Amino acid sequence: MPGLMADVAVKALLGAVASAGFAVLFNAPRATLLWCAACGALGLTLRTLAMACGMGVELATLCASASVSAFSFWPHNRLTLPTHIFSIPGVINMVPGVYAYQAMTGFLRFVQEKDQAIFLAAWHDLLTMTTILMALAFGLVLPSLCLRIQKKTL
Amino acid sequence: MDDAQGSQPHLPQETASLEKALTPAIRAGALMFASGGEIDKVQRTIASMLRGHALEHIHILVAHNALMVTVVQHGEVMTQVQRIDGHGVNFNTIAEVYRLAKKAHAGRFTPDALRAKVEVIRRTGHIYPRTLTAACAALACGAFAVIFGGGAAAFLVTTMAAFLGCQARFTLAGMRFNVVLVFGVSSFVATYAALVLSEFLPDRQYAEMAAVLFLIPGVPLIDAFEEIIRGYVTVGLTRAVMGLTMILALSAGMVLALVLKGLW
Repeated sequence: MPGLMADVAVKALLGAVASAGFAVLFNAPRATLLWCAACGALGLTLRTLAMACGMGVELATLCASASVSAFSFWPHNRLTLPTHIFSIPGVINMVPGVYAYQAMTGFLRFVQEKDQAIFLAAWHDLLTMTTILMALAFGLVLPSLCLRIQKKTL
Repeated sequence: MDDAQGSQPHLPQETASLEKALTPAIRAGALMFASGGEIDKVQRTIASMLRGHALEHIHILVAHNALMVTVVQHGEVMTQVQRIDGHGVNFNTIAEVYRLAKKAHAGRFTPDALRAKVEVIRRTGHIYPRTLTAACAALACGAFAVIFGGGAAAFLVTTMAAFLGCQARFTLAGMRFNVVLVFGVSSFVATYAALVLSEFLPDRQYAEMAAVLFLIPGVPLIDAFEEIIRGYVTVGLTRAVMGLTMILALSAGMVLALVLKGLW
């Protein structure tokens, strides 16, 4: 348990750094940076805890992403800004970079070595990456789809 | 965006007032869309800005590189098309336009004041200096390297490599090179730097995979997914294809660096 808590604390800190960094890259207003960092910390913490409870990476990402999106309604109401300004940097630290890299290098190795096992592993990585990305995007959209039903103005 | 549309003094009064109302709204919508705003928010922003002009109908069509708005008032119909030249990500512009639209919705501005405010937003540059932005993006990539499983050395190497890649990106973008080329070259610079700097690291793969993540087109891909879900399939698909093209350019730059380094 102490190992898990340490892992969660490190992930939360790094998630906050990554989200705030991306918020600056996206030219987010200064007042939003701390909120973006909070969203990043929340998302990665929830995903790490969900995976520690035995949830698959895709479902854990969906839950974390939806939670971040729901949380972003708080700064949205306080600062009168769109939710995406907080939620997109908040979930970007869950981008499946490892799977994307493994899929790309796997396909390249297959071109050279023509080994079917490498090809299958690369496809598996690609599908996992796609599923995580879909979970990330769907989780992000889900709260706004549920909470804002067909408004014509802001 | 085209700034050539001035006021038209010879138009009948009704048409001139429609033009005055429509121009700031469509320009604000185009600014928001070009800065990474998703289509539903762009449409609602335009509708909010046009509220209070007693319009009978507002029809908005958003394509990837143009916005078209038709309004009807007392039988008078006016259509404007606003070209969108380049897409990027600028949350400050989205935030400013959003707040302005909220205020316009509450009826706080005359059309002329609204037009001036939209112009101020259009001319506003980036909040953060380029070097600071590159440093923050590089730190974010370093954090990614540790999240993926790397250690302190991988963090340092990734941060340095991503900083160089980010600077290359800003320099090339400033020289107005094609965006796909910018992504490919920046990815090559970041990966090559990561490969050189991580030569003696046991966990060098984490630095290689995290150093290019500042190029991930997260905003267009998430926007695309949301637009497709909301039923704007054409715009969503166009955005998704652009996002995937960026990823392809990113991969090409990485592969080139790996080949040059003799790892393939």
